[in-house]
Amino acid sequence: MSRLEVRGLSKSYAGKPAVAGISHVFADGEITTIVGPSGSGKSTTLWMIAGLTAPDAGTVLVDGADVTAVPAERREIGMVFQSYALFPHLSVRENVEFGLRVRRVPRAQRRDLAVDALRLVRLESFGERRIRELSGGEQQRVALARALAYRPKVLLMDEPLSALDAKLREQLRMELAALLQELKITTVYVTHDQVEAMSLGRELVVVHAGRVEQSGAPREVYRRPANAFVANFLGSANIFEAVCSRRAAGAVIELPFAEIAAPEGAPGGACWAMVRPEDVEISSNGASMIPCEFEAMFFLGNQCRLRVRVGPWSLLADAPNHFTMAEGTRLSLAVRPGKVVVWPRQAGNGPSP
Amino acid sequence: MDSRTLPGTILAGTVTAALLAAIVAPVLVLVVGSVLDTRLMGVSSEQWVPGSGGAVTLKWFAYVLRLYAPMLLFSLRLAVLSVAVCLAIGVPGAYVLAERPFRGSALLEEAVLIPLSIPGITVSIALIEGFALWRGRWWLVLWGHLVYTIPFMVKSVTAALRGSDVATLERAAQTLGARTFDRLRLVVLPSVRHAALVGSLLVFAISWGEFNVSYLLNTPLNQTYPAALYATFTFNSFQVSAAAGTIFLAGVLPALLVLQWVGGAETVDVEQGV
Repeated sequence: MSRLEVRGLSKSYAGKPAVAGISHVFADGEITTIVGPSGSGKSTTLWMIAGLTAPDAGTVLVDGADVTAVPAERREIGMVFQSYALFPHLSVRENVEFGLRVRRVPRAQRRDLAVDALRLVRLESFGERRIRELSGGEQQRVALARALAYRPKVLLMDEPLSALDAKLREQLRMELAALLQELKITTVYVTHDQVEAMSLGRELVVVHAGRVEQSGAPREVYRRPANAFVANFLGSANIFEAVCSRRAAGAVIELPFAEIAAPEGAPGGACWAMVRPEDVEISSNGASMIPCEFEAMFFLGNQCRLRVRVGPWSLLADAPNHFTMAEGTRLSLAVRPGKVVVWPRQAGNGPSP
Repeated sequence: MDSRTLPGTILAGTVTAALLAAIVAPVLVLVVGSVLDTRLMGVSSEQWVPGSGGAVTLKWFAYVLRLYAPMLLFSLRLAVLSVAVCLAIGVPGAYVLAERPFRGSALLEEAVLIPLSIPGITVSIALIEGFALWRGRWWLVLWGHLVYTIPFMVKSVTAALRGSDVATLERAAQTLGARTFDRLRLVVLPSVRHAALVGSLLVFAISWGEFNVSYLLNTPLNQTYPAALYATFTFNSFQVSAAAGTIFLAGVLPALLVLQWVGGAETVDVEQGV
């Protein structure tokens, strides 16, 4: 278990900032996921932590010691690359032994450690295979075993599952989560896939345009996004211009088409109001409050996603997968109480047009 | 295969046979001619009669080897030295060009490859005129050969470095704790080993067969075998020329065959994304 911290990391390429001052204290022995769209600076941040890219400004601290000037080969920070970067001329075992070999660990001992590392990823019988004989999933696991075999202080993973198909990704993601939790190694995991980020990370760091937009526990960030970017990036979101006003009965949010009770601590005045589709209830028996028109329905297997219209405003809403739309049905919607998130309206925190 | 039709098979067979004849026949004539006794061809005053001794003889080879031994050795020395210098300069150079690019390195890489696209005679004349003082020195011939062979080595090795993304492999080695020396020894060298072998074989074959520079820088003391071969064809009998030509082929064929063999392995590696 090691403590990793970055302070004010910045990097520009040809005058264009890729990372613009990222600071974060990574949780000891836990997985932190950095998630953001491509070009948001998440991989550059990881490479600066690894020591493969020199930051223009800022520091990287491992266990409180400034390692910013320490070259990658002396940082004891393991890394799994997106392309795995396995050595094609070496066998699986020799790949896993590499970190021990360059540390001049005696042959017999490094063989034992390599077997241990391969056992962790359930490839103990693959030691003598050539890299090109392995499937993508197996290569990914060898890359992980290689990075873990020399017991680094910190493990970095740069989109390690993005080259695999969806089913395998899901399976490997669960295996990886179990393994890393058992090892209790401080891990920084970069991905552009929000589901991967939320399901793997004990903590989530959402980056955008080289800056941290929000960080925290995945549930918290998903439920209470700090702005429209985070809300949209982590899932689907209905976002409206609204006004928060105090009434005798308590604060209310005036949506363009309805008025709902304001969440606790909502700021007064002009704001953005966000509600996720799963918190918009649709009923066809008129029990809900706001009448709406049906626009489209997408069957997703485990549920149905509907697009409905209230006046000129469109909303996404989720319904159970047995939901059917009979001709001429009158729909109405309701927003689940307490599920609306509001932000004061400022430049740059609204939905992009 | 059921898609194969009879006319198609005949056409393909004919084309293949014609190509084989066009390529193999001249070589065959050379090789056969080099071992035939003159009497068999009716150009000798003696008549060959069945049972009067072999129709096949190795005397032409003996004659050529005796006559051209210095030239053969000179060519062999040039080819081996070319390979050595190409390995010593071309491989590290290719590494720098591909993995440690600097301002102007792209231009330098282009410049190194220029000799591949300009006629050999131009390079030869440039060397003669530019270094008239040293005309007749053996190393001027080597220089000419290097101008032609280094590009092949550089191209072969840079392609391997870029193709197998050695830059990323080196970074991976770095995160695993490998210092510069270990990275070169354990990652870079194994990655270019094959390309350097292919390059060496190419360089050997090219140097061995190089004619333009060799002929124009030709002096009686430093004559390469191809230049001598030209003289043989001009002044000597068919049998002697054929034997000389066969010896020339014997020098380069093994290199080309090994090249075919290892080159095949390279293609498979590339196809499998290694």
